[in-house]
Amino acid sequence: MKPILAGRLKFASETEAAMTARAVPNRRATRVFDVPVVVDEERCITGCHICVESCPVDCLAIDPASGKSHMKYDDCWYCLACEVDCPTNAITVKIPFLIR
Amino acid sequence: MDDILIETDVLVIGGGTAGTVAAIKAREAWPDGRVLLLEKANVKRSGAIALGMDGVNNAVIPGHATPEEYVKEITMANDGIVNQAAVLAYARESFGMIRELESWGVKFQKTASGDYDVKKVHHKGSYVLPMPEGYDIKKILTRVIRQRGVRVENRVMATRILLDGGRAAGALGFNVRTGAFVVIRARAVILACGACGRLGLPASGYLMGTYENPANAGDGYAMAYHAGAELTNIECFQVNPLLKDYNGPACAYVSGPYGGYTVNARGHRFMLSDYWSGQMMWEFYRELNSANGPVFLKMDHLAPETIGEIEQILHTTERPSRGRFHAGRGKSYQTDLVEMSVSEIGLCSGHSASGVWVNERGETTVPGLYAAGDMASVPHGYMLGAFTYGKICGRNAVAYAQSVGAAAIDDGQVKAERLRVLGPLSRADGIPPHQFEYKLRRQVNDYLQPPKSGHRLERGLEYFLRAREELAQVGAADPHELMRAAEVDFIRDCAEMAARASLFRTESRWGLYHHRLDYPEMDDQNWFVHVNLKKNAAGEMEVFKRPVEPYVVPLDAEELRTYHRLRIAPLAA
Ligand SMILES: Cc1cc2nc3c(=O)[nH]c(=O)nc-3n(C[C@H](O)[C@H](O)[C@H](O)COP(=O)(O)OP(=O)(O)OC[C@H]3O[C@@H](n4cnc5c(N)ncnc54)[C@H](O)[C@@H]3O)c2cc1C
Repeated sequence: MKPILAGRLKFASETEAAMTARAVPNRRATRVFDVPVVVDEERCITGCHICVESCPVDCLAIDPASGKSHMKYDDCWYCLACEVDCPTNAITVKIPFLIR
Repeated sequence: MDDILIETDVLVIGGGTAGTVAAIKAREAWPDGRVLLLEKANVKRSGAIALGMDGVNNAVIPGHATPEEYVKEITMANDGIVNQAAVLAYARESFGMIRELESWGVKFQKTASGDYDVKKVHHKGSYVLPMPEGYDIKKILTRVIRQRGVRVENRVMATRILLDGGRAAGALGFNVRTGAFVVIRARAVILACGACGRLGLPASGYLMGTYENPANAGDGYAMAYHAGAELTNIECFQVNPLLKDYNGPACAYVSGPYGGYTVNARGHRFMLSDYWSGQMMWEFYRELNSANGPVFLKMDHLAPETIGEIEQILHTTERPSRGRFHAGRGKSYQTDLVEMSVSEIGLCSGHSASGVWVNERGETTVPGLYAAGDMASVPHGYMLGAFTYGKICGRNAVAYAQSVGAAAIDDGQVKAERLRVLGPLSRADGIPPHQFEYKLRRQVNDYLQPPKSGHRLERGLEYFLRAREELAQVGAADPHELMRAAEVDFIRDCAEMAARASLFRTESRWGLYHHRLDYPEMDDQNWFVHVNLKKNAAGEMEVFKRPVEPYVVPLDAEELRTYHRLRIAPLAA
């Protein structure tokens, strides 16, 4: 193993390392999730946004490309409002994976 | 983007249970007045009763219970620390509220002879009124709101109360879809934003896997605090016995009257009453963590038709996804015991006692500011408490609004809040709100989950103060994330309040809700008081004692301890 020697590290001190880390801007990476709300695009009516209005945590949205509803944010409370209110039964709500 | 400016007479923030009735009642009391109902979600499906409710937990119905009996029961369940006048005001109006809800189309269970089918779940009296067809309640309320001419603004989240020289003058917030900043001027403001349901982190690690509707992140508690209002009983946490992992109610109030009850792993009953109280949670917690754990809800001894009836109720209303949760694991109430667990902590007067201090008129300590429901201090209010105090606040806010002139808008406050609340949008690469939230709520579990200890609470407080600096790095890529960013700020405020109030009360009270390992005894000599807190003139969080108002319904010392006698069998070694 390579010994960690003073002078080989980028920073002169741990305080400097911590302070620099504070000053360096934040960056984001993406992680994907299995989501509980699944919309059957065949059945979903373009132009209808009943489910999007029903959601108490606002986690659904209309996909501008397809004009269909989908779960956009991983915030579902598995309350079933969207599934119950969908006029064409296009929505299935699963219990979120971490819980089921 | 331009700000949106709205003028109204009475502003109601939160269109859930209390808020909808408050708005309806305000319009009825002042047909020429303007009433605005502001909702972060959409009133048709928002709040705790978004998918309806399966029963009223605390109906005071003539012939079944008197208001005085109810006040006694709630006083016992809260180890004496109650403002009885406020509980009595609820109890007296509770039946009228039921009748009014019925006139709007809400259905309650009746016996064959037409009487209300009241059940006994509490330790002493009978207050539970089932509503097996309660799934439509929010639709009914939405219709009445429209009929009364209430103006509704959905998807607008309030973030601060606007103040005019110490008086409530409206609110500030933003549209959670467009990010537009919203300024509302009002003569009176009613806060009805529900519980702080996202305080502790569920054991599943799933942020939104909360008992409460996750839209209720403590917004009302934090907004009242920043407006200078007093809050009370914050250390009297909400901790519920819930379906393990699913984290929703089982629900003993529904199955209890049919013969279901809580048992330990040996199938033995160990508590006299399944009514949720700190004392009950203490017995539940002890059993769960003993050699007899885990704890279960037992229904498999009931007739299949009875279980079918229970399932019909539990799987169509309140938290209807319970059914698929069990089925997905191959479990059924017919054949299996239902595994239960102790929830993470929250703040909620509806189930416990934490809230913004209000008197029997629903007034907070800030002129023109009212509060109702889970976020106001009247303990164990549940759904009917929210409706009834919505009603009380609606009419009193109108009386206040009619007695004062228009408030002035403080441009300095508007400017500062716009900068603060929209700040994360300028840091699109900043720490994502969900990541900040995960860490914050995990620390809440580590340091605040009872049983509590002074040393741990101190460490928690230290982190919550540091989290204030970390908040400055939270960013939002869009208005939805901005909503979450504003919420984590509220959650942090609530965590700090919870730590400080818990540290201040150096005794144990309310069973598990405030069990201090370092002060395990209840100490009436020094602590038969409310612990209140507020933001003082220097902008600091100040914690202090507030005497309990003289009782209007007296109890003797023996009666006061009734809820300490819940255990049936001694705990096995
Ligand atoms: C799962 C569950 C089961 C329950 N079971 C029962 C039962 O069987 N019987 C019973 O009597 N009681 C029951 N209760 C309790 C009862 O439902 C609540 O006490 C009551 O509904 C609370 O009403 P509220 O108006 O305070 O809150 P809510 O009805 O939750 O309304 C709060 C509203 O405020 C909105 N809001 C929050 N923050 C903001 C903001 N910043 N700006 C704008 N809007 C905002 C929310 O979106 C929400 O619509 C249950 C509660 C839950 C969660």
